[in-house]
Amino acid sequence: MKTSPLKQWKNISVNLCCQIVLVLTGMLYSLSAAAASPEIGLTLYSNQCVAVNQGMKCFVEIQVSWKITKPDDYCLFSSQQDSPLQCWRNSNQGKFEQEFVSDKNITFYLKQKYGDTQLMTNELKIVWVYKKNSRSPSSWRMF
Amino acid sequence: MRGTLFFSPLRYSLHINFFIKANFMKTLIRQTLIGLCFGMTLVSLSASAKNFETEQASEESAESEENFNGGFLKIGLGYKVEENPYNEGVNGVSLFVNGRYQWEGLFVEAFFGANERNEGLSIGYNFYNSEHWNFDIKTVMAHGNIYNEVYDVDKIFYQPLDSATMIGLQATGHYGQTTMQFLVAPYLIDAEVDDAVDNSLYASAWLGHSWQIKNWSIHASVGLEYRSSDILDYYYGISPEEATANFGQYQASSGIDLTTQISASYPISEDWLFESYLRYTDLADSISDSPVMRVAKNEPNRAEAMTEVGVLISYVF
Repeated sequence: MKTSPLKQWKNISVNLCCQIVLVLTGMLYSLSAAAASPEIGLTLYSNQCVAVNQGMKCFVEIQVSWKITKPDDYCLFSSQQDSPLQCWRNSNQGKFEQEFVSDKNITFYLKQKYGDTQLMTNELKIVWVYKKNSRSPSSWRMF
Repeated sequence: MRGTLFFSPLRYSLHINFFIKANFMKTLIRQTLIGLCFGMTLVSLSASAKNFETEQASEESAESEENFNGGFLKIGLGYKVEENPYNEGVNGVSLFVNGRYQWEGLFVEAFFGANERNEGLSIGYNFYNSEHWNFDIKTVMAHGNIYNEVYDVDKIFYQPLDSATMIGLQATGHYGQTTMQFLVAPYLIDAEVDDAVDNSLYASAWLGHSWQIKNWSIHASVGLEYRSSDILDYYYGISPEEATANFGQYQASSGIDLTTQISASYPISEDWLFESYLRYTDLADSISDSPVMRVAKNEPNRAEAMTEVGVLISYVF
């Protein structure tokens, strides 16, 4: 039995809509899953801070999240200070948020509370719109 | 009385009017050619001077020049509101171009908008640098071209005047976030203006300070610009032969313009900047008192002082 072109078109549209809904649901699920449980590693939600002139300090609100396979006592450090930013007890993941001010790249790393080894690291890069070589000191403020 | 008053006093280079545009291009080409000749002379002088230097001095020189070599080009698009006595101002989308490049002491600067030093194209040579001070010899546009053509009741008041490009010595001092700059330019390059002006002197003094508020960069500056009586009289004076019923004879004395600007920049990314600025210039009394300027300031969309405010997004190369 032959179906009418209108019905065929309707079937194709319904099919296409179902597929789009399925793909979108899948994407949303994977996104929410990623947000809920980060990948193994140390993630910075912003890995770059931009200031106007080289040498200026850069202000950035940093969110760090980490996840590791084995639960233990872990501490998060930054290259700005020797003391830990935050420690977690018997945990395999954590989140940390703070404003940082720096004119140099900042490295974040995770260590066991009583260990020396950096288990995972990530770097926040400080960049400038006007680099040192873009301006001679004899120039007037050009910007 | 009907007619046109088209001025391009220093800073007002990109006029829509054909006359101004043509004059501006002529000036730009002439200035670029002069600058190139000037630059080539300086390069050859610099090269021959270097032959006499010791190896150690050459190494030191190379090291210091290496630090000064480089530059940038910034092109911005934004919205500008401008009011002044010279033209009908701007209220709309504008293009802003600023840049500087230095190589082996030779530099070229371009100031076209969004900067208190709105001087157009300039070429120079940075010949001495100390810890806080830098010294250059450079060209500066001391005054833009002016075109007055007014059909007065008795005759036509007509003044086509070329721009004045000068050469001078510039000293720039940096102390922390404070910058000061002094320029004295006694030599006129433009032959036509030079023939008409006996004692030419343009001098300027600028003081600027920057603050950082989070990632915002705030800059405030104030500047004084002096022009000798002969220069101002060339542009604003009216001789007995030129005088008409409404534009009587006038002799301009020397004068000082006062400019102040405040601006804010925010980095959107490594290459993009958001910028905004407000600039105000109080013109010298000898300019404001001239019969032409008294008429001009009362024309529609004009004002006695120069005010400009703008917001723009810029790409920095």
